Amino acid sequence: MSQKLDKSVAQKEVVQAVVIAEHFGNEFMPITDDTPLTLLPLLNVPLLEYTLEFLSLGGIEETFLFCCSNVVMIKQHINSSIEKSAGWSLTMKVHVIVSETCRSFGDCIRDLDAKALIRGDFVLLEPGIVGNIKLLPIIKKHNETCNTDKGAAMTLILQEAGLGQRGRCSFEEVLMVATPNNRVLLHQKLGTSKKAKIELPLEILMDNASVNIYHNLKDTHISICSPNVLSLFSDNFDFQTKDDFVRGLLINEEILGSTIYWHLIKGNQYGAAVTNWRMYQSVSRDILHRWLYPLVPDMGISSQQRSYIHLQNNVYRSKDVHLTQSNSLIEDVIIGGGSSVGDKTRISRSIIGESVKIGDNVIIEDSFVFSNTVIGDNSVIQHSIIGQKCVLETGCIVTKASVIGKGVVLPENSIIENYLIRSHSSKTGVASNKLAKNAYHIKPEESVESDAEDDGLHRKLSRLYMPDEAEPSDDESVKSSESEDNLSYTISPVPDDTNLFLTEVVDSLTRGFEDKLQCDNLILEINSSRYAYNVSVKEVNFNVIKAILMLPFQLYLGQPYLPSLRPLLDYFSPILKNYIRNISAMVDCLQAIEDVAANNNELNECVSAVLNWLYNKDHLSEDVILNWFSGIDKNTRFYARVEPFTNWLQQAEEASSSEED
Amino acid sequence: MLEMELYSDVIKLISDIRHSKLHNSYDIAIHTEKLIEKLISEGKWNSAEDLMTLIKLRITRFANALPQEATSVNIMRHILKIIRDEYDSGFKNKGEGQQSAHHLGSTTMDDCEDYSKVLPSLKSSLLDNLAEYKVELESSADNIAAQALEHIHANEIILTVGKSSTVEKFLKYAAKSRKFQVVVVEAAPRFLGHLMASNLAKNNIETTVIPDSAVFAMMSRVNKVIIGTHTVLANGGLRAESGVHMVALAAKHYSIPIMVLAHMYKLSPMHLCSSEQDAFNICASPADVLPYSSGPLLDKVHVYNPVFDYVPPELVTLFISHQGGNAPSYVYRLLSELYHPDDQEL
Amino acid sequence: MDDKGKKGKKVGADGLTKKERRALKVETEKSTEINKSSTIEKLSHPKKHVIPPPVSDNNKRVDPEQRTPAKSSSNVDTVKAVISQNTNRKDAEKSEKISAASELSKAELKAQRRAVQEAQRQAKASQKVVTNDNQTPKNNIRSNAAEPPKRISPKKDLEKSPTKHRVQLFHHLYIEDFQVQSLKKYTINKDIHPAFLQLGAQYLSRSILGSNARCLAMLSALKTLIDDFQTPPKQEFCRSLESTLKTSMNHLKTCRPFAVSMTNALRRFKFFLTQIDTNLTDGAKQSSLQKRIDKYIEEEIVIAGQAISNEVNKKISDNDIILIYGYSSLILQILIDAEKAGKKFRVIVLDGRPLLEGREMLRRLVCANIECSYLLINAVSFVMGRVTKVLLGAHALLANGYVMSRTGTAQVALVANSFKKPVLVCCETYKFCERVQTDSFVYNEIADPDKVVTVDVSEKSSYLLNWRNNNYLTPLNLMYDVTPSDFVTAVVTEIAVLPCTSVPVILRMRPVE
Repeated sequence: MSQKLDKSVAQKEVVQAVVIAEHFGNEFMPITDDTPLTLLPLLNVPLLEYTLEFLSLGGIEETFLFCCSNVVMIKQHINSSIEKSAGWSLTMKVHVIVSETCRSFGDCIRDLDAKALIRGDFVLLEPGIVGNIKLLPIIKKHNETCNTDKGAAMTLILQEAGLGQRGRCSFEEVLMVATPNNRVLLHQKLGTSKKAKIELPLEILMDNASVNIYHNLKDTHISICSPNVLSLFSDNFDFQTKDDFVRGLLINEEILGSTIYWHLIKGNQYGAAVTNWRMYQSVSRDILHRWLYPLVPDMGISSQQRSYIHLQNNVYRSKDVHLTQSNSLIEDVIIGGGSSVGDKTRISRSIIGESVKIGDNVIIEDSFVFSNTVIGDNSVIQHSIIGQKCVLETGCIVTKASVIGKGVVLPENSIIENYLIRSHSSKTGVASNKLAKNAYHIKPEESVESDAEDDGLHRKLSRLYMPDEAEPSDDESVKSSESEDNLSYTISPVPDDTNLFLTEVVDSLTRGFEDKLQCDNLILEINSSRYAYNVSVKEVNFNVIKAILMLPFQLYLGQPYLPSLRPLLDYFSPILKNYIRNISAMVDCLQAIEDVAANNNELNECVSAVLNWLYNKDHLSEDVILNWFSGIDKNTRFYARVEPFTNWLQQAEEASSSEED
Repeated sequence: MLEMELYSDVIKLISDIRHSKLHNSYDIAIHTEKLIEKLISEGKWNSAEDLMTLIKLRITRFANALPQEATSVNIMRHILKIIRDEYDSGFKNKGEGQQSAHHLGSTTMDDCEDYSKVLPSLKSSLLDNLAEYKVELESSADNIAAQALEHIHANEIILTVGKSSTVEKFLKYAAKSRKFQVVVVEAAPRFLGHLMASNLAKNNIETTVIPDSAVFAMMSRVNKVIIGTHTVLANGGLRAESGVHMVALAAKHYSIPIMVLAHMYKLSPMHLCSSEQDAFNICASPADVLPYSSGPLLDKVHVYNPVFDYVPPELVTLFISHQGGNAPSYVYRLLSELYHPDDQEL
Repeated sequence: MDDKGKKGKKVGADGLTKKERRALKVETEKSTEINKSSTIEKLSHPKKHVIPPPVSDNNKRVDPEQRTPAKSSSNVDTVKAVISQNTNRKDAEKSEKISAASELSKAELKAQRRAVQEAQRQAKASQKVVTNDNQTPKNNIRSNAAEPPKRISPKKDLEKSPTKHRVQLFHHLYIEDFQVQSLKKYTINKDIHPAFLQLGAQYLSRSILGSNARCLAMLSALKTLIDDFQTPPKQEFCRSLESTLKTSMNHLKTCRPFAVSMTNALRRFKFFLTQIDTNLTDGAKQSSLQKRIDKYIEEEIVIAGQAISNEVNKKISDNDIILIYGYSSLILQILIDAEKAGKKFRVIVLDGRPLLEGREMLRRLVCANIECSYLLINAVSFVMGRVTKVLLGAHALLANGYVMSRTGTAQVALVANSFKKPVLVCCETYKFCERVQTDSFVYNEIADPDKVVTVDVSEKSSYLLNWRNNNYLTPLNLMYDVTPSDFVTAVVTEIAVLPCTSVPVILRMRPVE
């Protein structure tokens, strides 16, 4: 150990990078059943090669690859790459670190901290990164920043991406507020939030002479970290993802004493992370269009051998592909070696792997077909992903963002739309329908919570992009903002004072009931509160009734409502008498009941009983009740509940009036 | 591992070029030469045939990885020719004394084709030859520059495109004794013309920088066009920086001579069959042409950024190498002097 | 010649003009009196006069208004005379004087330069006053011949500073140094209608680009002017309008030279002015003029555009790959109409620095759902093989059939020609011009050289950022170039599809103005 230290002191600082090669999520199911995310083929080359080649071209000399699952596969792949003298292996050492127990990004970093392998500033990568950024100048800049600001923990690297650009995953929309010398003040990921407005804390603008607000950025998921990042993760166990870390650091800037900076990459530098299918699609397209130069498919990513011939319209064809006269590769297509394409087939904007046999009359558009697959005649594949070693019999139609896992055999003429298909029934107990011998349809998980909408949105945003559907995020966000407005309209925003008054009243009554105080005193208390908060008479009546009705929740949690309300009503009867004196007060009372009933199911159920009691005690008169009743919305359950009482009331009235007559 | 053992040096060279540690063709040339020198002095080979096989393997590997970088491959080819020549001359000399009875009957053609005989002095003579070649490489730029005064007269306006260190030296040498002006075409999107212009201006040469679009407008007043190139093809055409073809066409329209300064190692036995020829041209990142700030436009358009251009031989007036000037129609002859016909197919 | 000093009434005993004397006085008040007097003595040694440095008394007697213009013009004359004298004389004395002059203190040089500049400025301002002082020139020539050495050096310096960073070939096209011509020094003249002031600023900052756009902007400013125009008392409507127009147009010309379309439109407007019925009231005249302007726009620009579009659309077929260069409103209209007609074609947009107008064209084409590719002009040979036809816009069509258009158009036409692709130039007839030009030098426009130097895309800044520090380095930013008629297959106008050489026929056909 001391020898190692001596070495590192003697030689110049080796630039290190950490790649967390584990993806804690299930966006890529079912492809990730057997292949880890790092070995997912991107344009027929495993993702890991892109990451390692990017690091080596960027100037990194030592990389730590952190894996939690499929370790054997990854190690095997790395060894075979080194044997084939992949480009990165000549200038960079790769160490695989294994940890079976980590469950999140944060856990991995904490583990890394424990292992104490990192010496100086290092580059931190999340899984699935592709890029062509020159890292050394950015690391140098980070170093300088650290010298001036001792607490600088991390430099985020972001790329410019205009609104509407497909590479800018709407899931990860970033709003950033920073000072002119690139210190981050606010970093917010907007994707999942449905709000149309953003709140900026005032302190940001007050404390700084000038701030820049950016909404045109894309997170590359690459960051340069100082060594204290590791200890910060270890100290704060609630940092699970990098976003948590950034948010935590920004919120607790004074406490933790660390700051975050950011850097904008300019020119032809590109960085992106494959975090879901949509990003996978857009990154594939970008690489196909050569935005990632010099990592281009025809020059081989790390193999340093020409793999494809680059033709017009961005068609990349491997040398031994069988094509016939009548088929056409229209535009943006890659076909891997050993594949063959049948007659009258049209392929456009798709990635075809190696040794794929495509039959006649097939239409493949905007799709990804992995290696060793057989596609039967007359098939149509659109906007879908077909895994390795699949067999699609003749006449299959696979469309609308379907994902088919490895080894699936689809029977003839099957129509798959927006499904996830796996080749065997799953072991984890997720429900699946059997379609055929080797095809099981995975049902998406149903979530019980009320943000099922959110989940659906999540899935929609993360699956493949289809140009026909309107952007779901825009529609839904518009709808949700409307509904929010509606909601807020019915519950008219209670001015603060009245709210406070209500709570005071509730407190007084609770105390009164518990301590068995005299009602007169309580009335005095309520009146004095009323003057303190400058509340009108109407409001007083309204709120007092409301308070009483809400008391059972305070006092008798968990017990049935009506029995617990009765003694309260009895006890506070003098108060009721005091406040419900005239017709308008009665109306207020009824409104209070309606109000509370709207929010509380329990009151809803027994509202007739309450009304009955009030009526019997002569707090409410029939006319008022009937008037109010006619004004209630007929469709609510509340109405249904109140109806029997009012019917009885009417009958009684008629009876009494008829009696009187 | 097998591959690494076989030709780790070439793989290292390829990696250096990809990592941009070697920029211009001069550096690549020197490194290649050193590589082969090392191979000859330290490599495991017995006969000329072994050595040639080793070098041919390297050529194939290199051409597979970086097909546009012709410099390295050309130098290795030339060295193959040197080996063949050395072998032939070695045997001719020795043949006087040591010819066995077996060989007396056979013709000299057989001797030339069969390189498997062991020639003990081959290594040393090769190393001597290579040392000479190295000197030639190093002085090539200066030799070309020394010819400047034959081509530039006083008060000329010379047009050049982008940056070429050969052309820079050439012009600087001429500027010491003649007064002339230079118009530099900026060569977007890499803008190397800007660097060239600032270098020339530092040497007190009157320089004007124009954007690519103004070439035709300026051309009528230009007296000469002097450019460098990336590769010279077998028919006398050029693979030059993108934009040179349109400069050449404009010069042809006004009957202005174009002089191409090319080192010998840029001469390649490659022919161009079609403009879509495999690996003739390479497209670099479109971000140089349409930046990321263009927003949603980027998804909807195809952007191309080709690096090279083909210039047909009829547009070139003169090639200047360290040996002197040549017409494009003479290039085939130069090629036969540089490379053996058998090596030209690699 | 030698006793000029004695005759010095207008010119002081030391042979300096009043201006220079005043300037010198300022200098002497600050410092180095002695130096100056000694050097002056040295110089005027052959004259045998001792010159007292501040001769302000003489100045007061002389009437500045009358003197200075004469003197300034005489300055110019004397300088010319001096220069011719210099070339004749080969005295070593002369050269000594020159070298002595060049050793003059910097302050003196500045003062003299300032004086000469002021004098020249005043000369330009009141040229009419020159005639008053006929006698003075002679004296001044003789008297001022004594200062040839002094004059040469400031003249030399003068020549150096404006010719620094100018391409000699385009020397005649430079207006002023661009830093001076920037918007910061935009002077507001109260005689000019604010619409024209605004227009001038827009032209100067190049926010309005394109011949159609500039012409339309000018016509709309003209309409505003007519609307707001009130005939001054005791003047006739047309005449006063014309003179107001003239001052406005001069102002615009100082901001940016006129486009051919603008010149033609203006000429037509002046013709309208002459044609107008004098019996109408002012209001009626105004509305009549406005109507005629509208009609002109409608006919010459809008309908002509539609006609050209129809014509070209007949030539666009499915699966065409059309190449265009830069931005042209007419070409945009043609392509959008073709798209609306349902044709399936692809457009390749070429772009040239430093204006990069092609990006705007690209944006509009993409909005119209046309499939596009985008390249810079250096890639023209790369892409020309696949192209089926080339459509180009024009700034003007010259009488010899040459096309004047944005820099780079000629190149695209040249390459298209070499690849044997048809080149169609689309141009309305109102842009036809009687001028004849064979190259791009004689008449062109030089724009801001800094635009060539700034590079927006790459991470490192350009190597040329400090080009002003280096006298040998000049960026050149040309606006236009001239395409020879042999590169153009046909010109499409609203009247017909013509070969390039038939332009004079159209010119003859147009109404004589």
